[in-house]
This record gives sequence, structure tokens and C-alpha cells, in this order.
Amino acid sequence: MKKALIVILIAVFALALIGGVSCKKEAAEETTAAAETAAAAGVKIGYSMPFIEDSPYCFPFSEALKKAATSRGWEIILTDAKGDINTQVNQVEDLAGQDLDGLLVMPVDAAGIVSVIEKVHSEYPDLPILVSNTMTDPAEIDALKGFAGPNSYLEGKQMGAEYVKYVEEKGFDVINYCHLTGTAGYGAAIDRENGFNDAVKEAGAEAKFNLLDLQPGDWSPDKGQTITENWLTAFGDELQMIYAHNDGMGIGVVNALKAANLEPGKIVTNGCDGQTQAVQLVKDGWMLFTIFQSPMSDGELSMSVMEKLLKGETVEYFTYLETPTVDASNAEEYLPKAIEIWGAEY
Amino acid sequence: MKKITNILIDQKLIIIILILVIALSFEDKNFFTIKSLASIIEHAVIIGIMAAGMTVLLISGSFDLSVGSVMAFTGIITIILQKPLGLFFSVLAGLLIGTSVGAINGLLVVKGRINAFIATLGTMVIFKGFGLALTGSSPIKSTIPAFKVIGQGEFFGIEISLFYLIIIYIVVWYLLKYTKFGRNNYAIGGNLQSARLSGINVNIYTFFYFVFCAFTAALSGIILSSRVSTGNAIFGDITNMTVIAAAVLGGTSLFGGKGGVIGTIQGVIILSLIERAMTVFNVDTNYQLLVRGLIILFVVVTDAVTSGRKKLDIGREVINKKV
Repeated sequence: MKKALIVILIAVFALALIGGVSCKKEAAEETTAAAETAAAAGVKIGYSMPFIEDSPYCFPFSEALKKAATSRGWEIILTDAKGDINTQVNQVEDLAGQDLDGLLVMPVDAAGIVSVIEKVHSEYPDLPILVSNTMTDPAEIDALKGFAGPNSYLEGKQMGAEYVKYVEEKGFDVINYCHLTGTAGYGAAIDRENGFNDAVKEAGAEAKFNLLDLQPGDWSPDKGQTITENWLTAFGDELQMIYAHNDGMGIGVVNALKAANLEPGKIVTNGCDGQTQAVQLVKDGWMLFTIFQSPMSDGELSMSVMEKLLKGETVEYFTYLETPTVDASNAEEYLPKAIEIWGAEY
Repeated sequence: MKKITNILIDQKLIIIILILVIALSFEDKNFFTIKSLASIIEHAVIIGIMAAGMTVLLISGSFDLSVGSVMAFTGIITIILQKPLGLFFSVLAGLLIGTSVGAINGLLVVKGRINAFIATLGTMVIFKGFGLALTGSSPIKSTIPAFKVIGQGEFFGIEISLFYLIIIYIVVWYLLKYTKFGRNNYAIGGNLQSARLSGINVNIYTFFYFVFCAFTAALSGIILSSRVSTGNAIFGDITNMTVIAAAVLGGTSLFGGKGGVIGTIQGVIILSLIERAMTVFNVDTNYQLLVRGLIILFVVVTDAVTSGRKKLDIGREVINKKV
């Protein structure tokens, strides 16, 4: 009886799988039928994502990619590497074997992705490959057609320059600050750290910035808050500024400051990404600034560069996403844009 | 009739592999090429090698959470040592240092009498920490071009790394079936007390199972760092769960005493086929986790039901004793 049940289970499973295949086929036929009416019929794009659900940035980014593809009548295959370089290497190889017209990659690891891109390029020399959002290391390789996305190093510099401006305006001789980095080992965290330090160095303001402590906050509001609470206990009134690598951690910092009953602006902090909450905090004076980096525009930018490549147009190797600074002067203006992208709550 | 159902149940992994292969060949016209078929196993090499080591350890009733960290750490060490030691000795030193983490795990469990979960959780965090400290949290690049051959080299269009996998599986299969190393493993995992009473030196064997498991992780670390020409402490973050899932999918029991590498390799291939299917069928990323979970659950549930109530009861007894 029990064994018979198992056989039935296996049969149902098999039927479901085969059913899924045929359904998929029908669905695919429908979409291609729809696509044929569009100008660019039968274009198939592969996009290898480092993670999707695990990242507040990558999820809207992936939705933007799907939208950008449908609006052009393209079919898009998205893969999710869950932050694992080995999985991504395999997925890039799998994607390349799917008769694609173009391949886009957002690397899990800037240096680690290079050899598989070179391998795929040598096997499919006609397939245009574009790196998107996160640069490879080295940034320029022959196997790639180019890079499209934000420049997180320049964002770091932009943020460093904002703080230099703040210190000069306030006339501080020296400012005591803590540095809250993204997850250790990830490209954007390394870039935003180096960019900040270089901006301070280039402004000749090294002597004015006194680093009290540096901790990885793993991009998360919770960690940002806990670490800030510890800093408040350890450094007390000495602490004047906390440089955070993204909005999430910046929001955590502000939560800790609020919990400690501090006035807005007593200890300055910042965000980076331009989430609704962060823009609101800039408006309310809790954050000095945030950098507006829209995942929607980022996704659309990559797809538009790919479109140019497919049309045979020449493109510059580097296409950067514009990332304007949001501060007290223009927060009002950016708030509706942020709500449109992230929703009112996020 | 009864015979057929029995065969279906015994070979359910093969049947799932066949179903996946048939489904894939419908959609992907390039599926039945040597290159495409080989790449399915090539993609499974890194997880597969570690899954063999994990199978040995699981059979003895222990397990190891630190494999991902050991893998990433070995890659880092090997690349750092390239400059002072040269290619050959850096690889050798990497293998040795990675494997020695297994010795630490083994000592903590056997001599320190610490639960394997806690002990390996500790070494997992420590060696990720070492990796981050050694690299200053940024990836480091290999400077010797010849290092790439280990993980990327090809032999008649098939990656060399495929042969490491085959060799490891043949060796482990032989060890488990024909040597004391293997037979005592099942005895220890089946019933620790009676194994001890029958004169098996449980501690020594358990120690070596940990060492062997770490060796497979170190080997995978060298292959991975060669494949991507980079060492980075974050590489192994989700590896341990995938490795344990592959072994359990292949019928190795988490409670010890049961399993083998023939099942494990099938589990590894199923995971690799599922990955391929996700891309070929362009499964919406929002549903991928769900599909993966359902397939794994399906295998595990059929396994639990077919292995019968009697064995399940024994399983409970063992758990109770351990607690």
C-alpha cells in the first residue's frame, strides 16, 4: 500500500515536470508571438545576478531588467547565484550555451569572474558580454564589450568630498569619526572605503579626520544600530560623525542616535542609495546627505547599452550611471522619486 | 508488480535524473552533446568532492560545518604562498594547511568532547576570520598563470577537474566497501557504544574522518581558486549547506550508519541538473527556491517513508541517546 503510494507520488512528480515543460513551451510560444509583433523579434538576453531576494537593491533591479526587456520585446533569462562565486561561474557557462544574443553579468567577485568571462568569450567570440553594476578587476578586459552602472569608487569619493565640505563649513580643526563599512570582502564596500579615503587625502584634509573605529556593518540596519550603540557607549561626546556605506546602515545609525535622545545633526551621518526613509531622514536633518542611485535607472542603463551593442553601434567601454547627491537643499524634490522606486515604507 | 515497484523505489534517484534529463533534452537542443553533458558534471566538481568527504563523516554520525570556510581559506593560503614557495609547493602547503583544520575539528570533537555542530561552527567562523584578516577583506589574485591549469585546464575538451572527482569517488567507494576505514565507519555511526565495546578505536577513526573531510574541502578550495584565479574569504559562505544537502539527497543519513558515495554522486548530479534546468526553462527567480525545495523534500520524504518505521525508531533511539 505504502509502496504503491510512492509509485503514484513519483508518477505525479514526473507528470508535473513534463506538464510544466509543455506549459512552459506554450507560454514561450505566446511570448514569442507577442515579441514578433515588436520590432526586435527573437532577441534573447541572459543576465547573471549575484543575488536577488537577499539584497534590497538587487530585487527592484531585477524587476527593472524584466521591464526593460519586455518593453523591447526581448526574452530575458535571469539567474541567481546567491552570493556564491562557484554557482555564478557555472551559471554564466550555462547561460552562454543557450543561444543568446547578449550576455550581462553582475559579478559576485570582481576578480573571480574574469576567467569565466574570458573562457566564454573564447568559446562564443560573437556573443557580446557586458558587465553591469559592479566592475571587474581589472576593470578593462578584452573579452568584455564594456561596463555599465554606477561607479562605487566615485560614490565613495563623492561622499568623502561632502564630508570635507562639511568640516570646512563648520570650521572644525579635527573631526572624530567612525567608519561603518559594508560586508567585508565585497567590491562596493572596498570601493566606498577607498573612495572616501582618497577624497579626504586629495583635499589635504587627512589631519582633520581622526578615525576612532572601523567596523563592518554588513549593509544591515540592525548591525548599524548595534555598532552605533556600542560606539556611543565607548566614545560618548567625542564622536562627531559616522560614515556609513549605504542607506540601510545609515538608518540603523539614526535609530541608535534617536534612542540615545540626541538632537538631529549633533552626530552627523549619511546614506547611500537614496531609499525613501533615507531621503526623509536627510530632509529631517538626521542625515547630512545620501547618494541617489536608482536600481531602476541602473537596470535600464545596462539594457540600453546592450541594445546599442546589438544594433552594432559603438559604445564607450565605461558608461556610468549618474548618482546625484541628495542633501537638505534638494531632499524635498527627490522624495517623490524615491517613493516611486522603493515605495513609501522602505 | 511488486518487483517493479521495488526497483522504482530503490532507484528513485536514477529515475529523477532520467526525468530531468528527458525534460532538459526537450527544451535544449544542444543538451546531448559531449560538451553539454560533461559540463553538468564539471559544474558539480567542487561541491561533489566535498560531498564525498562529508558522506564519510556523516556515516560516522558526525558532520562538519566548516567545509566552506576551509575551502575559501585554502584558496587564500595557496595564492599567498605562491610567491615564496612557487606553484608546486604552494599547492602542497595549501592542501596540508587546509587538511590540518580537519585535525583541529577532530581533536575538538574526540578529545574535547565538544558536539560536532558547535566545534565546526567555531572553526567555520575562525577560518573565515583568518581568511578576512590575511586578505585585508579584499580578494587576492593569483600571480602564476600556470595555476589556472588545475581548475581550468582541458583534456580533449573535458576539464581536468572532472578526473579529480572521478578519482576521489573511486577511492572513497573502495575505502568504504573494502577496508576497515569504511566498515568501522558504518559500525561507529550505527551504534557508537557497541562499536566501542567490540574493540574499535572510535576516537582515532572519528579523528581521521574529520581529517579526510577537511582534505576534500582543501582540494576543492584549490580547484575553485584556480578556476577563478582568486582567493576570497567570502567564497564558501553557503557551501556547507549545499554539500550536506547533496549527501543527504543521495541517501546518507544525518544520524549516521547509513549511506554511501554512489548515492551521493547521484545527489550531486541532481543538484547540478536542477541548476541547469533553472536556466534552460528560464524559471522565474521568484519561484526557483520553491522548486528546489520541493524536489529535495520529495526525495527526502520518499526516502523516509520507504526506509520503514523500524529504522525510523532506531533513529529516534540514537537521537535520544545523544541528547
